[in-house]
Amino acid sequence: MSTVSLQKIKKVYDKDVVAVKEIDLEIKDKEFLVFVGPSGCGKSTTLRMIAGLEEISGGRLYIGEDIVNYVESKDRDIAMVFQNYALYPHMTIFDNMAFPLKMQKMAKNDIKQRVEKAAKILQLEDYLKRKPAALSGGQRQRVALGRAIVRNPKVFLLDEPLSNLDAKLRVAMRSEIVKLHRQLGTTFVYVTHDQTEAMTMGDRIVVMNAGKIEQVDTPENLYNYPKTKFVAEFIGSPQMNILKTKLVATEEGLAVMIQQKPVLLGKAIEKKINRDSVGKEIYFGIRPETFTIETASKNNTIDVYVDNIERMGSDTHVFFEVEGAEKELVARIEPYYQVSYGDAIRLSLNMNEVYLFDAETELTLIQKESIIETTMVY
Amino acid sequence: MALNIQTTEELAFQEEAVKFNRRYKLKKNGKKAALLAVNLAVVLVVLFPLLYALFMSLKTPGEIYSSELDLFPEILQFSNYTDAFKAAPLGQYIWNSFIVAGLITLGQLVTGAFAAFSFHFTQYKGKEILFSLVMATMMVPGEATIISNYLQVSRWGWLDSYKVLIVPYLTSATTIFLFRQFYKNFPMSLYESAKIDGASNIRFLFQILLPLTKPAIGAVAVNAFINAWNMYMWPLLVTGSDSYRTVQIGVSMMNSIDSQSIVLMLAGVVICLIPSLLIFVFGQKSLVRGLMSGSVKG
Repeated sequence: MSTVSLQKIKKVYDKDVVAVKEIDLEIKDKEFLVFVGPSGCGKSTTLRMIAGLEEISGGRLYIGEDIVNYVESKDRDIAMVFQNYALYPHMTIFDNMAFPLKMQKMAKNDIKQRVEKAAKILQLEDYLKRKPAALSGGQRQRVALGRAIVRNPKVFLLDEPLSNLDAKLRVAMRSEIVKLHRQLGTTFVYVTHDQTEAMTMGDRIVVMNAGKIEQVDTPENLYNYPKTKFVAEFIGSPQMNILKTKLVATEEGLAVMIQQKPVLLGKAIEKKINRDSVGKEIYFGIRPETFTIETASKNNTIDVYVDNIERMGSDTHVFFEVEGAEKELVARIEPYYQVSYGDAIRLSLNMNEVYLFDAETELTLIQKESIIETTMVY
Repeated sequence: MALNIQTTEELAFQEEAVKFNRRYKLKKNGKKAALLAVNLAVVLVVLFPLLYALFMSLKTPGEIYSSELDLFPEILQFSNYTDAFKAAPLGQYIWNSFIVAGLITLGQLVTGAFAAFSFHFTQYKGKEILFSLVMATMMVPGEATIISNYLQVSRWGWLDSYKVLIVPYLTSATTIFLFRQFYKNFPMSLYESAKIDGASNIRFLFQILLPLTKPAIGAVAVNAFINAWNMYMWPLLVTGSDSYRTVQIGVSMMNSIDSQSIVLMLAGVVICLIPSLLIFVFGQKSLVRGLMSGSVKG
């Protein structure tokens, strides 16, 4: 069993700098788990603690059945892939991949067999006699993966392995790594700062912020049911729009104040909201992709001026100002709308797909039952 | 094939172009010549003591004491060199110096590489304090400790031996410092990767770190060897017999053996300069590259 269990794991530097605050996490067998968060959130530190490269300041770490807090990296039965590949430049590709096996004093024939098998999986057969310098970035990263594969480890640890590659190659390697995971059937723990990478690769994603876990969930649930404002803003591109406003009760139902007018919440959302929050300050979140251009004025439309436009080809991002917003709002609209800078446009909000967070705690106000429901569906 | 018909205008233009090129080249060459002249002048100034020693070593004893400044010998007295070997056991001195400098270099490479490894790659309490202590020894001039060191080794009965020349110099703060500077540019992830792969510290050191820091080893070795070869005060103090005397001491003593042997001494000086020069000529590349790679963060 290749499970990894973190129990109140903590990392403190120099006695008072807390990098990771007592996190609890169960990584399942054969799972592809992604740690994501902004730089300095503690995701890499957590991975390095699992790897044994960083001392654990508190808590217990299990790999399989064993506590490994004080077990050396090499005895943890893990393999790690580094951002800068960390290949041994003076050794051939074969020797690079064979190095961990040589350290285990494996028989030469077995080493050869294993390296060749890994090379075949990664399409590196033709490069085994070359040195790392003669390889492209993508190939080098495959060698790094190969060096991990040959060991048959319980757990694969990957620390931003694609960050050094150019955008195109990154997309290609992304699916290669996912395929590799499927092929090997081992637990993968992957660290990235890129939410797209996290969303596309992970079975489950751990969103970290300031040393603690914000939410652990499937990509779908993170997107649809973020537990905190931070997760809501972190997942999705372009970012979710956030307005600081008020939740009010009107005769027709609950509404949020947008541009001084109460906009009614959709019935599906209204059911799930805790009535205690009525009248309170809240953060109102709406994803750019849920806006549509409208001609007739309705309760759920707002009139805004176009501040900036980004044409992506497949769609168009329109930026505009709304009162109470921390920054400019953005709407993703169909590319065939001809909008230009300074235009007045009318946007309708899909009030069934909105997010509400407590202004103080920044926790979601949408009640939990819905989350349980969808988890079961998943 | 294109026809080669040229009008007079074209020809004139070509001629002009050729002229221009020539002028341009002349200008460029002129600059080069000027630079070369300046360089030569500097070289002469820098090399003057060396050349002076070389020329003097080829003169007759009488010529040396003439009051006229005459750099070049009348007749080249190569016999000075053979006489130098006869006047004193110069061969033995050179051999002693080689043994001493060689073993000191080896010792410093080993201790320096290991110590710097522990200072850079491993984590333990008090590491920084320990490192500053080591660095602090660089601040103490050798002359300040030489007497107490002498008393120490003489009580041990080590005087007049190879070990008294070698052992005190088997490690040096400079070497440790140089190695550590090199290691600072070494990617840490390679160490971490080797650790996860199951390599012990020793194995990492020998199979990965040292092969990848060859320029550092070269630079440190050249530095250590030249320093050891040029040692003067310590060998002068602790050796008394010909069998352990190093060449630097031996050569300086030639003057006192026979009052007329300044030329022989100079011949000895030139001989004992040769290894340093050779090492520098061959080690120069790695010395310069080594020093550079330590200074610029990669």
